[in-house]
Amino acid sequence: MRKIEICAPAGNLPSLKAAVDSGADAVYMGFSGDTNLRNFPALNFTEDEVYKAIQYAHSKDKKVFITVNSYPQERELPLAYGVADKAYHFGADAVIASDIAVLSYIKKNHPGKRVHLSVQASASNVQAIEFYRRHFGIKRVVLPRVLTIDEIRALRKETDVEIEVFALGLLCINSEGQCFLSSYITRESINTYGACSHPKFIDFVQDDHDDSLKIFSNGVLLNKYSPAEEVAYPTPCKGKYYNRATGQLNNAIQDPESLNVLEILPEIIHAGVDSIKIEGRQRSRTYVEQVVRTFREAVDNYYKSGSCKIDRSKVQNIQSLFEGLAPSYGCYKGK
Amino acid sequence: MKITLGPIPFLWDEDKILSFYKEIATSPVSVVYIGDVICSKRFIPGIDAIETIGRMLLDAGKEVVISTLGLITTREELDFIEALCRLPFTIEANNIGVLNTCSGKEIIGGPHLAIYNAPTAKFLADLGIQRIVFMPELNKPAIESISLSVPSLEKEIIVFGNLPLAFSWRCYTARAIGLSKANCAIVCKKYPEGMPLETMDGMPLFNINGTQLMSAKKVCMVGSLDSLEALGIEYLRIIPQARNTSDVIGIFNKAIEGVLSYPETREALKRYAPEGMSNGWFYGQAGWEYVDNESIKTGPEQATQHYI
Repeated sequence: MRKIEICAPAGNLPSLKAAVDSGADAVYMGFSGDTNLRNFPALNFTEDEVYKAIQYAHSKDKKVFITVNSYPQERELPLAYGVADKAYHFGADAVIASDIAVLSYIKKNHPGKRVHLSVQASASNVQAIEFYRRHFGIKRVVLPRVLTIDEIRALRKETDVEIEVFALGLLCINSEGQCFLSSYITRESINTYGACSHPKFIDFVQDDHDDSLKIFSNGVLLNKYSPAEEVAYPTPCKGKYYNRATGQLNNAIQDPESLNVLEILPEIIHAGVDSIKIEGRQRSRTYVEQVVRTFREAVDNYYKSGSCKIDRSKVQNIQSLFEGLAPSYGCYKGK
Repeated sequence: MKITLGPIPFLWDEDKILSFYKEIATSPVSVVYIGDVICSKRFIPGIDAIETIGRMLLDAGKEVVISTLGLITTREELDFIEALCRLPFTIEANNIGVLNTCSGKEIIGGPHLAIYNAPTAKFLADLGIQRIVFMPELNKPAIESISLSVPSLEKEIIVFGNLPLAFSWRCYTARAIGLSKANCAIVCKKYPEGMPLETMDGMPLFNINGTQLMSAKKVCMVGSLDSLEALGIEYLRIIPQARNTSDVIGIFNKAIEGVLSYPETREALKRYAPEGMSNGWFYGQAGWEYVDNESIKTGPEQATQHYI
C-alpha cells in the first residue's frame, strides 16, 4: 500500500531544508514575484535558491513542486511562462498551475512534464478535473476546500487523477479562484496579484477613546478588537460585520479558525487521497519543522497501527502556531 | 449595443419568478439568462418550469440562455446540468466542468469562469464558446487585451446590479440564522434581496445570498458605455433585483439610444441603488469605489467618490 504523501510548504531555503529533514515527501514553493499565491515581501526563492532547493531535496530523494498558480494578465504572461521554463529546467518534479494560458504553454513547450492543477482552478467535480486532464494532461488535482470527505471519496471513484487535499493551515472559506473579496476592498486580486489582504493596504489604528484597536484595509473597517481579544490576520472573510437583516454584529462570513485534520487523518486516507498539503509558505522555518514532524509521526503511526494517535501535547503545540485561531475541519465532516 | 438580463441571483417564490419573466417578455431586453447559479437546493421548481419560462421568452422574441452553477461538488448537480443541456437552449457555463459535460452545445462563458487573459479566451473560443461575460474584477486594460486579441468572441459585461464576489461550500444565509447548509430549510427564500452586511462604521459592503457573497453596492457602468462599445462589447448585462428591474432596463435603453445624458441616467439609477453605486474595478481601483465619468477627464486622482 502506497503511503499518503506529505506535501510541505517552503518560503525560503531554510524552510525547505527543515521540511525535507523533518519528513516531508514533497515540498512546494514559488519564485519571488507575483506568479504565485504567496506574494509577500521577503518571501519565496530566487533562481539560484530554487536550483539549490531542488538539488537538496533530490539528494534526499524528496520531490519539489513549483507553484505558478496566479492568473497572469497579459503583461505578466511572459514572466509566468519563464518561471515554468526555469522550474522544469532546474529539475522540478512538477509545476502547479491553474491558468489555461499557462497550462497550454506547458503542454506545448514541455510535453510529457508533470503538471498539477492548483487549488486556484477550483476543480471541485469530476467533469472539471476531466476537462483539465483531457486538455492539459494534469496528473494531480489540488482540491478546493469545498468538499466533504464523503464527496472526496465519491470523486476518487470517478477519476484516476491523483488527489491532493489541504490538511493544515489558514482556511479559505470561499471557493479558491472564485473569491474577489480582497480585490473588492483593496483593488489587488488574490487571483492575479497572489496575495489576499496584502499588508500594504492594512492600517492598525489605536482608538484611545474606547481603547480598541481598529483594523482598516484600504480605508474599509474590517474589525475592531478590545484589548483582551486576540487579533487574527485581517482578511475580509474574517472581518466583523453588521447584518442588517438579523441585526447581529459578528463574524458573518467566517469565525477566526484554521484547518487542522490531524484527528480525522485516517478518514482522509481511507477516502483515497494521494497527498496532504500543509498550508504556510509565508510561515517560519520553525513552523514548517514542527508541523511536518507531527504529521510525519501521525501518518507513520497510521501505517504501523491503523491509528494516527499522537500525544495530545503535540496536537496542542500545532494549534498554538495559529494564534487567535480555533481548530476547524472546514467542511470535511459536513456542510 | 444590446441589453441582456442575467439570471435571478436570489431565490424568489415561483409566482414572483413567473410574473417577473412575463414583465421581462415585454421589455427591451434582447437576451434573458434563466436558471440558478448559486445553489442546487434552489432547483425545486425543476426542469419543466425552466423549460416553460424559456419557451415563453422565446415566443416573445428573446434569446434564451440557461445559466448553470458556479460551484459544483456532487454527481447529482452534474446530472442536473446534463439534463439542462438537453433542453433546446444555449447554456451559460459558470464552472469549467460544464464545458466537459455539455460539449457539443452552444455555450457562453459566464462571469465565473477564470478568463484573465487573451490566450485563455482564445482557447475557449477554439472550443466553440461563442460569447464570454467578463469577470467583474477585470480592469479596462485586461478587457481590452482579451477583446482585441479574440475579435470573433462576442463580449458581455455586467453593467448594473449587485456584483458576484465569492462562492462558498457554506450557506451564509443559513449561518446567519443559526442553521447549517445541510439543514437550511431553504431559508434564503425569505430574503429576496439578500442580507446586506455593513462594516462596523456603517459602510454597506457585502450582501449575503445563500452560498454566495455579493457586493452591497450596485455596479453601475452607465457612464462608460462609449468605452465599452470601443472595447467591442455588444452585450450589457443587468442583474435582476427584487424591485424595479424594468425601470433599470428602461434607463439603460434610453442611455443606449442617447435619449438621456450620463448625468440624467446616473441620477435616475441612484434611486435603485440605495447602498450606493460602484465601478472601481473597471478603472483599476477597488471594486467598491466609484469613478465619476464626468471627472475622469480631469484625472482619476480627483475622480473617486467613495460614497456616491
